[in-house]
Amino acid sequence: MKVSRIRGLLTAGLLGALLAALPARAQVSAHSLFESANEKLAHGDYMGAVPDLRQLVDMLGDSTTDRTVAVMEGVYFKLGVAHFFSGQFAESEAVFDAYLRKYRNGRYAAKAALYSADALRFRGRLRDAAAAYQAALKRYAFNRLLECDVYAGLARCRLAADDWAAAVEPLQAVYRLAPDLMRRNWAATLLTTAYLKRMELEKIYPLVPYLLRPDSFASRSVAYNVAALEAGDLLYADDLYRDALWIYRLVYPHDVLTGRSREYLARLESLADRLKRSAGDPRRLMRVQESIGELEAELEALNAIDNYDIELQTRIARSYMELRRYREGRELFLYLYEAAPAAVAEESLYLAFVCSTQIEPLDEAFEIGNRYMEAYPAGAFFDPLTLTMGQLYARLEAWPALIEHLTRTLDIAPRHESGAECLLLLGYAHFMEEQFADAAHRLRTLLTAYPGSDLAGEAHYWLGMALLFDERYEDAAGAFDTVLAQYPESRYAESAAFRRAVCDYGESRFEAADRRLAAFLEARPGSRVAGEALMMRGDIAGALGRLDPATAFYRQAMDDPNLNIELYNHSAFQCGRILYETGQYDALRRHFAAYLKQRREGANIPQAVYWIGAALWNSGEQAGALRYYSAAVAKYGGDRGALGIDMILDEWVGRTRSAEPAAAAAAWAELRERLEAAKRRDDRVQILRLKRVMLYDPDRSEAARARLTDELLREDNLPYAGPAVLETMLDRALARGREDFAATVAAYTLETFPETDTALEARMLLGRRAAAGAEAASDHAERQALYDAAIAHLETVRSVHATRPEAAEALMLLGDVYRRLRRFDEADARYRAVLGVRAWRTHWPAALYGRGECARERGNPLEAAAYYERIYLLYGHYTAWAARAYLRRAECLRALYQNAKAREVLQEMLADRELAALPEADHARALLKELDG
Amino acid sequence: MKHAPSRRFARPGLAAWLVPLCALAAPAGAPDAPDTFVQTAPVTAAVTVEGAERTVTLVGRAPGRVLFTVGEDAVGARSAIEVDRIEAVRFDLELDETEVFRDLRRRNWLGAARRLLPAVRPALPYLDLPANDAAEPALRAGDGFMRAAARRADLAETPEQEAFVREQFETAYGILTQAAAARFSPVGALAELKAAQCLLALGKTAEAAAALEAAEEPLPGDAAYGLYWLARAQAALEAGAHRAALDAAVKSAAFETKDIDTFPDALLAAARAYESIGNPYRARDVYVEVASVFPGTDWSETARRRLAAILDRGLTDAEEPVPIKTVFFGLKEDMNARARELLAAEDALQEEETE
Repeated sequence: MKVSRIRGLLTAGLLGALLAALPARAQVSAHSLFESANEKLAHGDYMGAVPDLRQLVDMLGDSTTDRTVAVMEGVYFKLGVAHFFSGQFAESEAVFDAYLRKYRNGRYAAKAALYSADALRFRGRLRDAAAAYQAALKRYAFNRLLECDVYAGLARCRLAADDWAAAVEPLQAVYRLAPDLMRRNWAATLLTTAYLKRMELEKIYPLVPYLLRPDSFASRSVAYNVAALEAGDLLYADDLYRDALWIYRLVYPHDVLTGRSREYLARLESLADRLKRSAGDPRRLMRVQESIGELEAELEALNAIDNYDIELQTRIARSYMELRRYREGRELFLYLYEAAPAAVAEESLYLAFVCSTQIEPLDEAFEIGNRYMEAYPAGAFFDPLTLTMGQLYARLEAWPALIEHLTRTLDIAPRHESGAECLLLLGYAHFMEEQFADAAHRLRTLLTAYPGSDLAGEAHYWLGMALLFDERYEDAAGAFDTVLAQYPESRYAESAAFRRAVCDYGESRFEAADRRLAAFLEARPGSRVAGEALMMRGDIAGALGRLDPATAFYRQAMDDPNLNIELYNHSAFQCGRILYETGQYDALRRHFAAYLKQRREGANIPQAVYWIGAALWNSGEQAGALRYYSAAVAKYGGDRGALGIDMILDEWVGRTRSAEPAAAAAAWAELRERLEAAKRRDDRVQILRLKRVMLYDPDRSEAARARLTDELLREDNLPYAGPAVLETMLDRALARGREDFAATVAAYTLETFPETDTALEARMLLGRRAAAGAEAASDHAERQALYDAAIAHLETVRSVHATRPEAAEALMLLGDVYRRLRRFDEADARYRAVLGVRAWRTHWPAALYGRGECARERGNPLEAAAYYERIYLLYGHYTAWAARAYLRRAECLRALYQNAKAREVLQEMLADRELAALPEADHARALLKELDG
Repeated sequence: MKHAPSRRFARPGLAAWLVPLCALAAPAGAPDAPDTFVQTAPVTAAVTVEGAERTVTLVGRAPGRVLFTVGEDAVGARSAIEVDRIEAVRFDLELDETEVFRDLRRRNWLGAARRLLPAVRPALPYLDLPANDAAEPALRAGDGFMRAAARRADLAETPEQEAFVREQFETAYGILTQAAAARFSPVGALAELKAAQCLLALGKTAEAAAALEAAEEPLPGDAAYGLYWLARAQAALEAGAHRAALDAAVKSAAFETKDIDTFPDALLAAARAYESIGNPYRARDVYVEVASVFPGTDWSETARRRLAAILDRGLTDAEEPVPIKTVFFGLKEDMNARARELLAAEDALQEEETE
């Protein structure tokens, strides 16, 4: 913002233009001359008065009579004034000099000295004028008003010579003496200009109140505003944004400067006209005229400099931004967006966005960002802006908005400079929205389009996570292997190592998973997921029947403060269950006593109480156990989520069966009393809970139990039913053939208690039901939808409850479903997963049969025949499966044109008396007959 | 007060100025209904109509019109002229601007206001007249009473002092509501907004809010822009709407930096709002700014008080997170140190003056 320095602002010589031509005059008497001159002076006709006064001087100037000399003092003075205001400064100066020689201590001596100095100044003899002002100050005692004029004149001499340093002292005097706001303001403005030129900023601030006024001289002074701009620029260039801001804000915009100057000039001209017409204070007129001259010079100078308004506002806005005054910055940048030329407007809108990103709430940041995207789809800042918006959405965890925004962004700018970042964010957002396939797609796109990206490691990791959560364990394992092999120093490497083991676990490769987990824990004992890894080792050990290591792993897991409460509870209760089943009751008591003592937020206290009671009971402390239970039921019975209470009640019922009849009767009486009390309180949770228990009341008739069941199987009970009640409702509904109601209960259970065992049962029911429904469905779309539902439920069971027996059933059902859908790879993988777990060996014949069916239906009877053969060779005692296997193998051999071999197989089957009695035997005989025939 | 019906100028001997005025005056024989006239104290004014200026005595108002008398026939020779036809009015204000300036230099707002009020009082019923020169001093008078009251409000302890403050605000409000009629210039809008500020100070927050709601929103560059948003900020602060207050104060301070009547107050309002929304760092910065840029003023004193409170309570002791660029280029400025230096320098100055 460089503008040329304005010189010579305060030039003189403007008075001459005011005066009209001298009129002709007649020869008159001294008295009439005097009268005439006075009359003209009274009407501001200074030039007209000059001849009269000059003639008086000629006539009487040399007189020595006291009276005439006294009268002529005024005439001399008026003649000097008349010349002065006629613009005849040399004549004026000569007259005032003559006056001062004649009337050294006269009435008008001070004023004459002042006019004389002014005349010198207007003649451009600045040095002489300055000396004359200074001499006048020494010699004469001026009143405040005139003293102010003297200093103002002296200051103007200095300023006209562009000597700002020397102008400071007289300007300070004017500032001090000024009798009105206008002159004080003038002095304040010029003093500020001088200080700005010397960068004496601290001296400026006391003057600021004078500078910020509508009529301030600062609002019209080019010199002042240019000095402020230059000072601000220096500060800004030195990164002194705060001081730069304070100075920039003192600068009046070019437009304001022009407008105010013109407006003020018009006002001054009007005032000057009025003063000229009336007999006023001539020095006031002089001051006004001088101001007019200055103002005209200002306007001329202003025309010579470029309009700096946009640049000034930009710098102010940027200074605010640097000072973290983002609100102010945003307002100004938005203004610039509207007011500035296109190039500046675009950047201003972007910077308004940048400021907005620092202001909560972020709504306006998004609004401005979207405005930019609309206005400048090919803009210079499109890429950083859109990426930042995406990051802001991520910070707010507004995943759908992020997906929509970055999808649109990449549609507009497929060659986005931060395309990899955008895709990573998109992948992550899809992941958080559980849109795992979309997540994987985005991340794969990133890896393909930006193979050398710094984000590749991160992308591989999140790709692995998306695939893992999509239960595509094999693919996920590949992604995690890439992270571990190619990005071992990545911050995700640790997590990837753990997740890699989870992939094995998800694939039911428990031994492999355990090996990886062991290696992981050894390599990273302080990992944040160490607890989770230990818990998983516990699960695996439990599933493989290694119960002591399992409890040890669970306890270690519980010691990890990073283990979240859900996993902590899982470890605690799995460990407790093992301790109970292995009869380690003392250990069980200690285990849950420690659990209760620790009392982590979210701990399941009633369930722990149940286990302690169970340990007490089994340790021979029955009375203590019942007291313990009773207190727990009373305390937690109204909480439908307190699963432990239902376990306690179940335990109670079980104990009464082995208790003395009297004790049992007393126990049941207590339960009945509790039920009545709950009814009186209308405690519907407790009522349902106790009604469920009353189904086992030995004193209750079958009819009464049936009525109780009726009362339980009502849909309006659902909001009050805990997991145990829901489980009973589920079972009883199925027993009564009310499958639809059972499905309603199951769906409600999944929705309300998704983490419980009841949910597992519910999910299995829904999975089975959907699979069966699909088989029966005639409509293709309906069948597909049912298969999809079945897959969703069953896949969840096999992954979330991977070590539970139900997982095996789920895998088998999944295998069947995929086979129906002719997705043989997936079907075969599910059967194979069952074959990998020893604990599921009862399912192995079925799993082998499934694999055989896959091979056969794929058109590979040879491979299929091998699977069938393994069934009857290895699992012949599963006669039903053996019979089916024989028959299927024979069919395959026949399809391979190996009729002799097929005949042998069938004969072998029919030779087994047990197999020969099964329905498959009839088929075998018929086939044999065909082969023989 | 009731008046006789107006009569037409028809007498010979009146200056040429009267011709256009006569032409514009109400027609003879068309008296206004007596109850529509309001008599005022007579006030001399030079009225310009169709480019011609004439000195008359304004004596009353009727809807859309001004009653006046001319020359020696002031009593009983009233005429009327439509306000729309008047181009300018110059009142014969008996005002010593030098004395007013002296009061203002000493921050004696009440003194200045008391000098201004008698001069403008006769003109108050005529402030709506186009291009009149009394509107601006009337605004200054109202502003003077308001500033004096605001200054004393902080110090008032006794019921008498509080009543005095209240009285000053009410006086200011009375003057400003009349000055608000001056719609020919920014004075009207400014007076309207200052009147709303008086209502706020008088605790009439609902009325103030309604007045601000009714006020037209100015554009950046308009004379009333800074005051409009300042008043809104102050109203929002009173209502406890701190974010809205901050937004409004920021608008005022960002766009109106050349109005000493609003800029420092807007900065203080912004600082107060920053404090209220829990950002002591920015509040500190703005208080440092006010204390530095307006030294020796009431604004500076207020800023220093608040700044000392923030520093004493250690609200900005903790490191504020800064952008990485600032750290990298070593641009970080220790504002706590700068604030403490500012307070220490001022304290030393005060001690020196005391000695």
